[in-house]
Amino acid sequence: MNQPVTEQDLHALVDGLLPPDRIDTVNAWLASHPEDAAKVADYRQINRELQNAYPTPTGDWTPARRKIPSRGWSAAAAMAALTLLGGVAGWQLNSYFQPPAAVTAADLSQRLVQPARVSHRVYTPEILHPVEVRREQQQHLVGWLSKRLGKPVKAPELAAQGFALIGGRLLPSTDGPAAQFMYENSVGQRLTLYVRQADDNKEQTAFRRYSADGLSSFYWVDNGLGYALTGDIGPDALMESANQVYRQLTF
Amino acid sequence: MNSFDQQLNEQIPALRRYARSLLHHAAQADDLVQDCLTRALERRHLWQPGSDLRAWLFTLMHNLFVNQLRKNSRQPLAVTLIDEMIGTQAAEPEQVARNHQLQRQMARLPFSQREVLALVALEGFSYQQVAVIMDIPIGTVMSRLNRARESMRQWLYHEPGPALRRVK
Repeated sequence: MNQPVTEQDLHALVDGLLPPDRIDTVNAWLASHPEDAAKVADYRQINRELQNAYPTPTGDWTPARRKIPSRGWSAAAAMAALTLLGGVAGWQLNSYFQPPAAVTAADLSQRLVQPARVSHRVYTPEILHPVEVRREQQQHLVGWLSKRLGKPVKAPELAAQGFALIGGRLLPSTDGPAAQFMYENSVGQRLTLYVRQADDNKEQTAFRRYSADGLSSFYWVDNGLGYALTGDIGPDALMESANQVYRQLTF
Repeated sequence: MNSFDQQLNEQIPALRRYARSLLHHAAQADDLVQDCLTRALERRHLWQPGSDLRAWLFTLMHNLFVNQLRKNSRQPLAVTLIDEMIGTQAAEPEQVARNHQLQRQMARLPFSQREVLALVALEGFSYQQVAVIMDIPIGTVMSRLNRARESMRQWLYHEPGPALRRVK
């Protein structure tokens, strides 16, 4: 039962998806149909060339949108133009040009990620006083920080990722208190989890990443608190820890 | 590390490759990957352990990509991105040029055809899997694949001009 050879057969041959019992039929067809044979040869060559042209990316990756909120920037430019024009028209268009998502993302960056990263850089190199309250007094630490932040906070467990809690401290944030928990692994690498109050807007709750100067942060907002996990342990390992934190604090 | 996270991590390189073949802009492609990973983490409870995580991730990516196209429909991404080719790992200048030429031709394809060709030729999905990922009938997969390959074939091997000669 040799069904006529179709276009689909030619593609399937190229892609290795042809049923084995059909291969001989199609090859016999190609032997007597040079135009189809040329097609198949070209399709195969396209596959090979595409695979060369798109190698598997390796190494670090840094999504650009997290660094430069382009919508925010163009909105800012539009606002500047309107301000130059002045007058009532500009004022009326104001609300139209305010992109809520971009504003909150920038806001989050200003109030959560940047202070988290500065605090990380300031306190992780400390040998003698990396934390204010050590893990031996974890209950006191958590109770104290919860009270100051006005919300119950927890120090998540990162033992599965090889990190042990060192302790934590209270910090001034941009407009209120913040908590920092510090973790360390067996080779002395340190992670910090920075927690502060944040508006629980749906737009902001996504899990995001910011990377610059060899330091990565994963951050998100959940249930009225903003979290930023920061470290220089490599993005995959950090993401794993961030998942862990996220799970423990959320579920 | 649990099985979900581990498998998710293992798929990141392939997701990045696929995103690059769609967008031709490394940073925008990685943004798409990050959105995809975010969505996967948010919906991890929807994934059935033992089912094909890879196909699920590519389905999420496809949907995000389509949404993005819809949002940006007034400014087609391809137009702005063709000039900024992504890096390749080739050492010889001829191969680098050839790779960029392939990318340029790929960027000329309509997105719907580009997706099918990338899923089949780069990611090795079966036609049936592509139909599921893109939520289209298998006949549509085949016709898009055929049109994509015929266009590429024409542009790469059968158009006159020194810029389009095949590099041996």
